[in-house]
Amino acid sequence: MSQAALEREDLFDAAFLDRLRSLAVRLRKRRALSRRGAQSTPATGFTREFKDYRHYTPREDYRAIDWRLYARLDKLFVRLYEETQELNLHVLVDTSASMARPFGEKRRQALRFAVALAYLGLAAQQRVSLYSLSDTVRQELPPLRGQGNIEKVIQSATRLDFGGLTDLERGFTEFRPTRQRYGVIFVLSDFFGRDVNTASHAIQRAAAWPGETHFVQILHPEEREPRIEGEVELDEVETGERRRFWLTRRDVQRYSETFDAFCDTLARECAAHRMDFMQCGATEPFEDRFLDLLNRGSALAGGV
Amino acid sequence: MRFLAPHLLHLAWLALIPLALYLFKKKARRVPVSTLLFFRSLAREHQESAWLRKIKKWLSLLLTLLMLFLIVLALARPVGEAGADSPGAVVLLMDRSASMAARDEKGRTRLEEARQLARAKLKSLPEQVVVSLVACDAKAHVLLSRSRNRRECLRLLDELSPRPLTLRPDIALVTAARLAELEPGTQVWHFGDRPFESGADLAYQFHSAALDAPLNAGITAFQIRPAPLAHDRYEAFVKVTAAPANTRRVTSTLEVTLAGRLAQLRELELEPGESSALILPLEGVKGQRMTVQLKTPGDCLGWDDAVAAVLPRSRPLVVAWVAENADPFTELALTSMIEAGRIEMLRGTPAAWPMSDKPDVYVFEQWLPDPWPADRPAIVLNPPKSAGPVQVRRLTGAGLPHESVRSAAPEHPVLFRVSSSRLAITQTGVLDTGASLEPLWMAGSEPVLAAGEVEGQRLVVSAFSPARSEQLALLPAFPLMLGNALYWCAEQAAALAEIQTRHPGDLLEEEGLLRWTEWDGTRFLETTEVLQGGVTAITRLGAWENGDDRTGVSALASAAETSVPARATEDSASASLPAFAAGPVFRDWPAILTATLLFLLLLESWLFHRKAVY
Repeated sequence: MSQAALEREDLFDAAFLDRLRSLAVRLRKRRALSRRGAQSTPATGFTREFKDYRHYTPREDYRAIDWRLYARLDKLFVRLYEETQELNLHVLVDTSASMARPFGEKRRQALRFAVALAYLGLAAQQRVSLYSLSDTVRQELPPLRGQGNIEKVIQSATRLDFGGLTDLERGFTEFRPTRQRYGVIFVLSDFFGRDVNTASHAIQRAAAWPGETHFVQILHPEEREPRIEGEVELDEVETGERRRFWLTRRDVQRYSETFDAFCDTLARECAAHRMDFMQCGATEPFEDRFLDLLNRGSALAGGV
Repeated sequence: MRFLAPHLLHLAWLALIPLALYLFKKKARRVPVSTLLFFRSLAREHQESAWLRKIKKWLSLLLTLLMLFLIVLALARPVGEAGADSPGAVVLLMDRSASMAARDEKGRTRLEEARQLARAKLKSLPEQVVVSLVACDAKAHVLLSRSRNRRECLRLLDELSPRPLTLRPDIALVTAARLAELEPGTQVWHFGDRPFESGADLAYQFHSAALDAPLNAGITAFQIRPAPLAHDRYEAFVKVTAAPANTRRVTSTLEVTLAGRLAQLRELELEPGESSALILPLEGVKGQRMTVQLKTPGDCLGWDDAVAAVLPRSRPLVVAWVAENADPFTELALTSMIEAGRIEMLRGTPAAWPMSDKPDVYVFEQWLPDPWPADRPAIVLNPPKSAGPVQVRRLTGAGLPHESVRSAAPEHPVLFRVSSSRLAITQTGVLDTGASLEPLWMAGSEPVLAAGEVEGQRLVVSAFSPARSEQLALLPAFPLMLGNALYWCAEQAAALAEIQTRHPGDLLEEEGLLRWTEWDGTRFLETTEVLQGGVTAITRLGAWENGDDRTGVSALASAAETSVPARATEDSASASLPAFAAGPVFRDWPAILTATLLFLLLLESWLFHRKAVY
């Protein structure tokens, strides 16, 4: 049994997929009670679904004139049709080393979120794209549609290589979906950059993205409150930089305060740009947190 | 630099501990973290300097070893070595013996005068000069050792007061010499009423606080004892001395009271330096208090003017009399003392020797034990042979009659009140007195009575036969001589301990409440003292009684202290020593070490905590 297979079982076992399916059903039922039809928009288009009439104005396409109505009423009307829009789902997974080491739970949680989101998107006949984000952003999967592609998503997620540095600013700059690829963007990351302010700057760049953006910060509890004291040599997994510290309890407390301030800044920055920000513990139960995410009013949840 | 406790330098091996800890120290635990982002911002406040980071490992060890070295050095008590820049030191010898209580016409004691002189001299000293303060009387008390704290020195000076003790210059000089060895260029300043004679090898300077024209007479000896051959009769020996420095002849009155009533009154006229010994017969019962007070117009020292005593309740001496052929004269003398209650006798023959009971004194007559018993004092009468310390050659025949006997040492206690006039004796042997025995009676050119101490054993030897001597004259003299001999021999015995006159400073083994008839220099006071037990030094003058009817006498009785000296016309050594010049600030090694240690601690604290050497 290969290492990839092992990890696949660990991440997406059969039980997980079953739970995912039941989750999708639950969501669909809930949506069905509250809404009718799929993703209608106020705009008119060229589908076969008739929507309304309107008086003809010069320079409009004369092919839209309803000649039968003209014969009855002697007035020119044009027919308006329902326009349906295809939704794109972009899932960006932070694949820097800090997401896999020293706390592997972060990687597991991020990939579970990614697969679950992709599953929901595919089930809702949306185009799902998977990206890896480290020092740059790479498209790991082309836009896929249809529930049958979930296996491809899982395989791709399993193959993601977690390592290297985080460059949020560069990644968020390079990731710029076109107008046609308008949709919902999920960023799964710990948002640890080279500097305390890097993440805030990156979020400002993400404000220009077309669509609905969700940031999910995945953290391990020990990242907020490290259980270390005394003389230690800290080894940063991304850069390999080592520094010696003599940490007292008071130092750890001040560390936690700094960490909380960082997270608060991220949340404020997201709120300022009307983007969703959610914090998720790497060791927290996945389903609860995933439902929390969907309950925050995502278009994805509405489309299922 | 020398060390007063160089053996503590061995503690330097303790340096191996931090060295071992350094060499085998546990490495810091390596902890992988997602990001150093927040740790870095935390450490910004503790950012260490780059140069410090490079040397921190060695610096930590170096500072620790240096501190350890300094501590060991400080424990070894370094003292400065002689050097040209040394400002030197002063040892203040403050005489607080009894004579320093002599008052002038203004009522100031000599110690107050000495204190004033010392304060003035101290103020003129440079600050760097190290000062030691030694109060000397019968002992030398180092009150302040090698200090620059003038305020403390002055405070200790103010606390000094005279004590009724006899000065021991030799002890004071030894202490001063030892202190002087610790610091180069030490001067010994003696503040007292008379200079020390043997301080020549020291940088010695005497500052006189003596009176210009003292006048003093005092009791310089006192002893009370029961009369050997009589009931309820006591004899007090009192010696009165006029100070040699007196400017004129003094007339003193000696008042003796017994049970509060005047018993005797004697008037004495004494030339400067003259002494008068008196034997005062007293009739009283044991336990009665007697006082002897000497009154001299213009007397400057009161402590030596009075003595109090309680008529002693001494138990009888236990005398072992072993005789081959007992002389009737000896038997008569001893029997009269038994009747007077002065002795208890254990009588035996040579066949019963050695005795199981231990007496206070042995009396051997016409027989000597072999081996010689050296554990008790002994009186040997008419020995037939030599044995032990008694060396005698027996005369053949009936002996050699002598018409007269000459007293060779009439002042000897054995001959106290014994008249040798008209004595005709029959010599039975030739005594070899050697170097230890002192001839007391001489018959012709031969000693017939001798006394002395041989290897700590008191011994009285006679070489005449009382039975064959002129009986009429010997009848009163021989029992008295024998009684004196018994008391003199047993002087150190426990039975006579109560009648010994003690002096302040002597050790007293008492417990509980003592009732004192205390002489404070001007009058007698009734005081009490509670002793916690054990051995206590006597600090008072007078007579004491405890609840168990034990009594004692404490008297100054010191010819040296009674001889209050006059101020010399010119202080011999006052100008001979060089004045101190102000020296360098740092001469005090302990202060240097302490300052360095403190600096290192601060440096280490700053480097490794404030600057957080991580």
